[in-house]
Amino acid sequence: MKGTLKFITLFALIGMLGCSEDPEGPLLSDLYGEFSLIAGLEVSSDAVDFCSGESVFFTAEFSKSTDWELRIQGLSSGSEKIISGKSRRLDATNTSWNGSTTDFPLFRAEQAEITLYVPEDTLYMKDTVSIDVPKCDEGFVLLDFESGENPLWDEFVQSGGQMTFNVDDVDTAAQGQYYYDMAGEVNWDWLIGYLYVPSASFSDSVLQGGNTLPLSGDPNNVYVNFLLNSPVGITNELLLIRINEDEDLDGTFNGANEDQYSIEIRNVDPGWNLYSFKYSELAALFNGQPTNAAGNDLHEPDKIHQVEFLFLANPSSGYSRLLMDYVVFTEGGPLDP
Amino acid sequence: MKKLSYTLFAAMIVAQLSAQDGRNLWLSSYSRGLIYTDEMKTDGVPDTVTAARTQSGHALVDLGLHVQPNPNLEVMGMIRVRNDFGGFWGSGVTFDLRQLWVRGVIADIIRFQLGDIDYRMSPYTFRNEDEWILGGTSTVSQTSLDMLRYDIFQNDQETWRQQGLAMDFGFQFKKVLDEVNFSLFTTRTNSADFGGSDRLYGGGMMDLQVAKEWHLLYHYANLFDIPETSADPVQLNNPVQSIGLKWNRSLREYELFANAEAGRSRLEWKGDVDAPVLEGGFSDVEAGLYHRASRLKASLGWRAVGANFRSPGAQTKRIRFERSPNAYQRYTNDQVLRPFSTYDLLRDGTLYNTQLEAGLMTFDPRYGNALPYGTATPNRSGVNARVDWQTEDGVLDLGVRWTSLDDIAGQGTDELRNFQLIQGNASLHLGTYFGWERDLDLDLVFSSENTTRDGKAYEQSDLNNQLIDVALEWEFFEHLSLLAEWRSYTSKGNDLFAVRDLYTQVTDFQEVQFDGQEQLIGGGMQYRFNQKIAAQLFYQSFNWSDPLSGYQAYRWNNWQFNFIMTL
Repeated sequence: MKGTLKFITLFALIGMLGCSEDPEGPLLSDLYGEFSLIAGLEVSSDAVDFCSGESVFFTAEFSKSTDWELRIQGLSSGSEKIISGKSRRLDATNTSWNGSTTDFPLFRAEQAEITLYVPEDTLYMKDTVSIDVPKCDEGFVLLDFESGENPLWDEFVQSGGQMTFNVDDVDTAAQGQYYYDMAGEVNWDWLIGYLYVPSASFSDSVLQGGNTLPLSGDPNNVYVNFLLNSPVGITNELLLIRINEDEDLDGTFNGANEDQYSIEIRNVDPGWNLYSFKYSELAALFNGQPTNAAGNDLHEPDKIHQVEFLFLANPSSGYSRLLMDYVVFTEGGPLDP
Repeated sequence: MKKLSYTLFAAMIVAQLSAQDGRNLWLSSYSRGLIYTDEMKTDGVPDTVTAARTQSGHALVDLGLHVQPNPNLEVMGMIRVRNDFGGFWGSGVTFDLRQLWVRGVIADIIRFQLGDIDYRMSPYTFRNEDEWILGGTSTVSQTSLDMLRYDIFQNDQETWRQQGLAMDFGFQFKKVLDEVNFSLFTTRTNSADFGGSDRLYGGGMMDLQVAKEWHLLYHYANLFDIPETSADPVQLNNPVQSIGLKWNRSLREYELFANAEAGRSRLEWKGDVDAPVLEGGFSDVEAGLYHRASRLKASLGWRAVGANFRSPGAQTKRIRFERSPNAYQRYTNDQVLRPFSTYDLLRDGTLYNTQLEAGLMTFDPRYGNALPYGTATPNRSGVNARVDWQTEDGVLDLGVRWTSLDDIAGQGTDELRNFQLIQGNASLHLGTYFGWERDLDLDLVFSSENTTRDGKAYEQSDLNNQLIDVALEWEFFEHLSLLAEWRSYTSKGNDLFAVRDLYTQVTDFQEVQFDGQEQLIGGGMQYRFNQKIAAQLFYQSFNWSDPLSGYQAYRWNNWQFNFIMTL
């Protein structure tokens, strides 16, 4: 009989080894409990230098897991970053901010106001952080217009009405202070004007002694990024971007036997919008339709000789306008503003 | 070589009819004919869309041909011929192959059965457990239930009907061990033809009889997919294994016994990087005694089943709660799907499951919340006790079962639910008491299941499911009986029902609240030609309501005539 009892005790223990007693499923307190604030909003640092790799995070604690939204607004630029989630705690794991932007323009060196909003309780809490240095995006900046117009650019403007092709700061720029304003009405031609940016417009130190942009040769790794803003009421804008490759590296582009890849942008929404394209996915276009590339049909970003921006509109459609800013080539992924 | 009892060969409830001397060829059969007349009426707003009255019926014959080419081999094939009333000369007649198997003994050592097999092992590895909500003994309601159980191969032995191969063999020893018996099986539960990979269920058991009083047992079962039998890159693998102990001793007027079993399971989806690996275990111990003089049997047990214990052979449910009933499937003027009731479960075979399922099937807390997956229900621990007693003159049979369980892991909270399940049955044989030649039997079944949880308002649960069944059977004339039954099923209260994902993990909770009331009143007459042939005429009136469900209450009346013959 004693042996039987020992066996029974042993059996009672064997099966239950390692059985977890942690609750199954989501906590009922999160689903049905009452909300209350346990710890208010705090910022991990009063000031931050994003360009040096610093980041900032925000903390708060609630009585239950709940939906929340952090809205960070640049008090000078008007830039906005939104971080949202559902949790009981806000900490570095779910609120870390590296200076990036949700709604353009990009943040500048400025004061930013943070607002924590909890819809379930209509709770608002505010705090501020000083952006000493904004985020520095890695990549080759083709155009940011912060230094005005470069005399080595090739600019052409039709002699239409209300023509504007210049660097301006009347409206808010997407990045920095300046942007490029293209506008006008040309009733005899699609072309309103263009801006050609040759590699020669960069210094030798930037080009590292070559005649092409300093990019890697992997077309799957290189991205073309730019920001466009179409004013309210404008619907006929058409931007054609052409990228010319100097395949034989002779310092010139020959359209008959060298590749040109193009991007067409229409129907730009009002406000600044980011466009990013993987270089390997760009197509050769003829009158807007895909065609065979004229050269070796290889996407070779390390042989980009010139980038051309042609602002077009249907001549019967009247006045058109488009703002452009921050044209940048990135590697490894699209621009993370 | 001693026989093993774990492989149950072709458990047909049929008698065998010798056709030739030497029994090289014989037939077995089952047949029935029935006519149903149903009428449904909704309470409140009259239902002017649904056809209130329906007539149905069929006659069928199961004809099994047994061939024994030699003493060690038997082949059986059974054909079902069914004619739904309303057809004529072949219209509406169906022919189905109902059973096909070969069984025999190889070299006087290995017993085998190939084809249809009925198999079971322990309650935690491979067992087709009954649902307590269908408890009851009345012929009035159980006749139709028995018919559908026969149709889908469910039986009191709690075996699963599978298709595959089973075999058993054993060895006897002179020293150390008395005997070792092996039983092995492999079955196919899913064909790649129907999507997914080929899925097999296989395993077996080993029984070591160490001494006269001791048996050590090992069970293994695994539901698994065969790779590369389909384009599906994910393969399920769910092995379950357990060790067991059985002990019994005769001591003067007492028979003492003790059983114990403990095991582990592992459920994984190979090739699915998002899938968890669920590992769980269980322990079960029970001890009891039987007093021969008083015919009193009592036992006390304890068990704990981990929250992640997954055993498809033991946890697959008999009832498919996600289905809708066949009869009056849509009702009311809005033609909404009618939720099924205990009355549907008594007569609708399409609500039942015939195949093993991976993971945990859904269930309805109204119809069993404490042990929805039988004894092997995961996330339960507690005690159970059982007492059975019979008077010496056979006038009274009594039985009481009590189970008290708690969650092991809280469901979304540290507060644990408690489950109390009390089941009692009594049979009073008044004919025997008064010394009559004919039977007058009164049967009572009572089951009550309570789910409770304390805590904050949103954590509290209080759900009671209760079954009361009273049945009377009076043989007032030779072979002619009068039958009556009153059956009540209620489900009242609230709970939070765990919603599980494809990997059987709890992802959400659904608030459920019931005020269900089901009542069946029935009566009729039965004439028994003999123990195997009976003709019955019954009337049943069933009422269903649940004001909290949003469904309209209804009354369902039924006249039925049954003729059942088993040969």
